[in-house]
Amino acid sequence: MINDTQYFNQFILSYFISPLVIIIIDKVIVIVYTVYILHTRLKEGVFMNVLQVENLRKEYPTFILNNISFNIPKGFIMGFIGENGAGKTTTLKAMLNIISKDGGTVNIFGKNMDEYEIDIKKDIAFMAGKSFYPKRKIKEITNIFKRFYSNFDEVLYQQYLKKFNLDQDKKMDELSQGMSLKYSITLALSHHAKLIILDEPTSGLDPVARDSLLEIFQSIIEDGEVSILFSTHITSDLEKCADYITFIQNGEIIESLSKDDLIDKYRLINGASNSLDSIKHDLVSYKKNAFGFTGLIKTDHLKENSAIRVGVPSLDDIMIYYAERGASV
Amino acid sequence: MKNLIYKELFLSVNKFFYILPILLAGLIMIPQWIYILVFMYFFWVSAPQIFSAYLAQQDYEFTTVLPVKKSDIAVSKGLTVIILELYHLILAVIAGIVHNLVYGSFNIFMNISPAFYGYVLIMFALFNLVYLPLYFKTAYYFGKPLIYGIIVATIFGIGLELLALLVPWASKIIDNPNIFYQIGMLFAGIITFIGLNWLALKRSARNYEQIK
Repeated sequence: MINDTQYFNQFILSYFISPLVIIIIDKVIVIVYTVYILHTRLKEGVFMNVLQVENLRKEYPTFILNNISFNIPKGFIMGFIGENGAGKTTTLKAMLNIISKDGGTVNIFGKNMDEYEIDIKKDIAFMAGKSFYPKRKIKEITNIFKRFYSNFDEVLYQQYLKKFNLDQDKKMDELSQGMSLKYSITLALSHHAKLIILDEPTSGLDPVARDSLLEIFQSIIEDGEVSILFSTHITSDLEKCADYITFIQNGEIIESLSKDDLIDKYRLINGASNSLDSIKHDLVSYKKNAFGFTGLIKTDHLKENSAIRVGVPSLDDIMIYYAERGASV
Repeated sequence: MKNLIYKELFLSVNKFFYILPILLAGLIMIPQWIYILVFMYFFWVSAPQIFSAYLAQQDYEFTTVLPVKKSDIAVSKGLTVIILELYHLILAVIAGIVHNLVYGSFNIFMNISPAFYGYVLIMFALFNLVYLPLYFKTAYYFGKPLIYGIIVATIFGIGLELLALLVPWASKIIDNPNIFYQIGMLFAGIITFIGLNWLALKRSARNYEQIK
């Protein structure tokens, strides 16, 4: 026979302690497993930045690219925005040693660009938007191009040609701008480029071609191996497909954030002229109109004020108000 | 480097510049002429056309993104010039042999002899030494570098031709019939060609790397 105390102990053990122990063991297993997975992924570089730019500097007599820093995590699309002449192309070219830089470090795939330039360039593709060798046939250019990449995949190349309806016997200048971009992308994917950098790929394309190009971008990054950096001043492209945005103005980085964080960081406000004075110094910039003013403000600086209406800005708004500030300084 | 030179020869340089030297070699069959002019067409026709085609074809847009050393881009273009010059020379040597069989070796200007090809090599080397490093300072403007290169090459080449025509004692040295002198001069030309081109390529690579 068991007495009351023994019964009580058994009760506690079976109904509280045992489940608790099981839950603790379960949690410990989950935690250990998660740490293990994270550790192996980190080792594989799954979470690494494919591109790290630190304090990149380039000086021209009339223009200075000043302390440019930003990162691209692996497997994402980053849009590089800024008005014409903000330094987008210069940054991309200085980053890739196409033009010499005056300072800063660039690491791609965790390797220093200056030390491992050739190794790195084997795994990246840069498309400057201009079509090269306009009077040469696609197949002639490919025959030369593939000699430089030991891992050029002929089967994959043929597949992409078919997919994009590219005729190998056409000359470069017979291709439309969209088709010529598709050809460049075909070349990039055929040598298994892990980072694709495009300079203003969408400017000059019609809306249909632009949309199809953005869809191609998204399908490229689907497996998480390839990352894309593309510069543009057409911000609607970014709204469709960019995960991260780096915003450059007058040779300086204004923001480099995920797209949602960037939009959350700013608010568009409008109100009557008399409420402008109290808020003026907090604004990025503002425009006066017949009904009062509209301006851009950092969300942190936003204060409760019933006289002011607050809205979510578009990327265009952010760009325009920063440009406005640049002009008024 | 091999791939870059292949790219230059089969993609960048127009096929016409492989036919032109054949036509020019035919000029050697003109009797009693200034034969060094045959090689000068390279500076006047081929070089400016080839280098302007780099711009027209957006060659640097294509080449700079390839996985190659920056200096190799300059060196490969320099080597392409050298290969084309040697191609000119080989065709001219063949035409020269035919010329001497048909007309004999005497010429009122410089005779066609091994020594003559030695002088030609020195002239090419001087042109490369002036032109290539100056061009690669910008890798864009080729006009002034070309003019300076042509001036130096012309002073040397036409100078020798005029000396051979007008100054009897100089003519005796330049057109020395001694076969050992002629072969010696050819080797002197080869060594100068190698030496000056090495210097030209080194300077070109350095200048190209320093482009802002």
